[in-house]
Amino acid sequence: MATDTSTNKVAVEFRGVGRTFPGVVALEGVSLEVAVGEVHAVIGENGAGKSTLMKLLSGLHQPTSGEIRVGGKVVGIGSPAAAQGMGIAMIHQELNLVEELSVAENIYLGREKTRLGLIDRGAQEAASAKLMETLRCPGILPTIRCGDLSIAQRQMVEIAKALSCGARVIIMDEPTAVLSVREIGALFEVIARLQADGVTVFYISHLLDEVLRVSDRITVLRDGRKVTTLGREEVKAATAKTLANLMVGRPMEQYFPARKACGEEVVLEVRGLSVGRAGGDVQGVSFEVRRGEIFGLAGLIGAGRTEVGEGIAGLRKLLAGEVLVRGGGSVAYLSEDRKGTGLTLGMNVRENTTLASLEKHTSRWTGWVGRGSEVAVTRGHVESMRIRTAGIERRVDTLSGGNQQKVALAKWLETGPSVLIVDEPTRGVDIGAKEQMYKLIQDLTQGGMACVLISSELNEVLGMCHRIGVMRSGRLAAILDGATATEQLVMQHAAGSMEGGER
Amino acid sequence: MSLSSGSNVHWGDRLTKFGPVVALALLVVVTGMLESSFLRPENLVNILRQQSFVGILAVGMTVVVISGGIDLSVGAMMGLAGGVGIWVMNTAVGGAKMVAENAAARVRHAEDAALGLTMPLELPWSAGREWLAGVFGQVGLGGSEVGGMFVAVVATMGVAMLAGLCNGVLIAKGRLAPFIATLGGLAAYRSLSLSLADGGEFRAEGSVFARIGTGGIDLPYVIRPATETAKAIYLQLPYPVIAMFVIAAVVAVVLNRTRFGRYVYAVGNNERAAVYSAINVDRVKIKVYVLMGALVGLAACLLSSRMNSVSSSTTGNLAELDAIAAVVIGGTRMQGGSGRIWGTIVGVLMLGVISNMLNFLDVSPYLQGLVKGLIIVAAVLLQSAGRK
Repeated sequence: MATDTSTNKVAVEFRGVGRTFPGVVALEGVSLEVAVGEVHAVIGENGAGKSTLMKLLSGLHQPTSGEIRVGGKVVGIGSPAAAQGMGIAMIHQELNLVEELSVAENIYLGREKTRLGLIDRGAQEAASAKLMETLRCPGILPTIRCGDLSIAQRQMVEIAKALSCGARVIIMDEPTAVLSVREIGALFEVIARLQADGVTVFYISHLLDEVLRVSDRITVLRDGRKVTTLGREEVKAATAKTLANLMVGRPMEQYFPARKACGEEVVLEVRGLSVGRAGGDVQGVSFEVRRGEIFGLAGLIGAGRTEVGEGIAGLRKLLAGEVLVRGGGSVAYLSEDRKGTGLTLGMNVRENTTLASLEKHTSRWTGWVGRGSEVAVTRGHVESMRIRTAGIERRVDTLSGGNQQKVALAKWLETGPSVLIVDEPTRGVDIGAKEQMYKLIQDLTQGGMACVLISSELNEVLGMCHRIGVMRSGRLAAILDGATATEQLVMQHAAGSMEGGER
Repeated sequence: MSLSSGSNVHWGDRLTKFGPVVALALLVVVTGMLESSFLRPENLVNILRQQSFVGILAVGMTVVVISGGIDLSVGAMMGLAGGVGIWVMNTAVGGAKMVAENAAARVRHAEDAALGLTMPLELPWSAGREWLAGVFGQVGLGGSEVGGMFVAVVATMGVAMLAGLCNGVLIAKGRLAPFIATLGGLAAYRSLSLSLADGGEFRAEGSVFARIGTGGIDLPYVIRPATETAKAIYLQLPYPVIAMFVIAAVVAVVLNRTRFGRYVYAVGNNERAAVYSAINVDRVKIKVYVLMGALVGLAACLLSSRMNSVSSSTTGNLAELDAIAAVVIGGTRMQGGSGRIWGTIVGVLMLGVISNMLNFLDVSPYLQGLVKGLIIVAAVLLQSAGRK
């Protein structure tokens, strides 16, 4: 991105910063200087320490060693409010807007403009409109209820809120995780404009292509330590692969397992499937999946992929059509929303693993659950999937995203499915765990399962699937051969034009 | 990065877990020092007995709260179920006699009318009750007190479980918030019992029924100033107390060791994930409220038997709040998903010890509510501090 490199003033500096939690060193000796008006990406696997670093800057945690300088002065950032006072704002992955309040009310929440002790709505709305103007989204009217905005628009409101607090440093935590291709483009334009105004942006993301596109410099963390900071020239020369190697600390030779042949026998047959949903029904989707096949469902967000998955799994009522599973066996659906519908976070690994198949462990007469058989089954999955946990009695919310995902998968494998639908199986999961997840999915299909892989990550679909169904606004637009399909081809069908191709 | 969840997890966990026990122990020691007669076995048994009814409700309430719900109707439900039980029992025991008296009165009234006198006919028993008395007479349950006791227990349990079923169906199938559904129940059940007793009380006739609530198991213990004539004095462990502990143990096992119990936690933790895991969430919820009803029925049997009467306006009043307070003190999460029975029992005992202590210390009864309130709030504050 174009930047004026002559303003070499340092906005934020970390000097030998460390943070320990009881028994864990989350961050150690990290030193880093970030200039005014720089977009600085921080990347690393889950657990590498990037969130901890950002939490130190936003006042959620305090460093246990080292110092943080803002504008050249050593500061103690004791709370998020203190951070705000220093012009540091964090846009959280889960947006923190009050849905029932209007855009203007949200922007000035806690700092209401008042006149004679009453809220001065006119002034707030005028100021909000002006902010939206500077962000070039005048379509977001100050009076709209935030609950009626799209996720991307809410994100803009959050950014406007940060700016209205006078933020000079904005931290964005996985800002594109929930955005469509077009919305991501718009966000990057906003970031460029912020940068031109001298705002420093910390950018956290798992999506390495995006990081390369948006950042001036990139810091790589691994196991709580800084591996390196890539300068402007190095970033220009870097590829997603070099970044991945730096993050993992070893070359990632084969990202996806080699495609294996699949059987001939059709296991899942979907005929004319239609399901209702807000914003346009999903209609007339037909495809077959053979034994051992991985069938991809690609498409833009909102194209109806998840609805198809839920329809097949019987979680949504079919308006028309039918789903046939040949040769018996059930359909398991690994949901995209791990925290909302996939796992019971307050329960432990064992309880989650057996939750969908508890009848196997229950005495028919007493309803008594056999702890021993539960433990045996859970141990088996923990070992075979290499689930990293301090024990099967640990609550799943203490596990990392990738390991949580494996527990969710174990839960479904326990139901003995012949069809496995995985919806965004690697969202929010780091590279090492992604690789393992791909291997697991392949092993399962080689064992005779039919798999439907729903994903927004094109390289994942292209790398894994035998065939790819591309969805566009509620319909199956095309079925492509996985070996010959390209990103361009998929995007062409997904968007109905040649635009996109970024993800 | 998920490591960030608090620096003193272990300390906090332990505080949340054993805080109530420590508080109870402290309370007992302090009270014992202030007033030595507090520690006398009779007094301790007395506290247990006073708390046993709320204790049984609180065990059920724990299950309800873990499932992510709440039941505000248990006090009113207890009053109604106990009242109906006594009403039905009286119908069975004294029904035949009353029916005969009514018949005689009708004959007299007819004779008076023939003579031109128009006295109003006031019969203490309605037609429906006479019919029920007739049915009991025919199936051989009429007249005997043992039969009366039997029908009282069946009716009490039946009414309470039916009321629980109503709550459960409204919440699970009607998609009502548990707070609202059971608030409706609270008003409705109380009103029903008031109407049935015409605002007065249900008074049990006969003495056999009273044995359930007043009886107990004798435990020998020796009074300390051992004179040469020291002999075993028997201390009675009342049935309601035994019932409370047995119920607590059984429900604890059900919660922790059975499929139903696991589902209760799962539903309370994350209802949507439970639905996705193919758990029949509606059925789990209905079962939870029927179980609550059954425990209310049990408590009602014991209470009405012990008191030998049920007031339609006051019996069970605010019992739901005591039960909820005990659940909260015991460390069960009000949002559902986590909790434990023994914590609740500790909470129940704590409430009992507090009011007993305040009586000993001659604190005005008007002020006792304040102290109780403060202790509840303090217990919860302590636990949320431990969670941070």
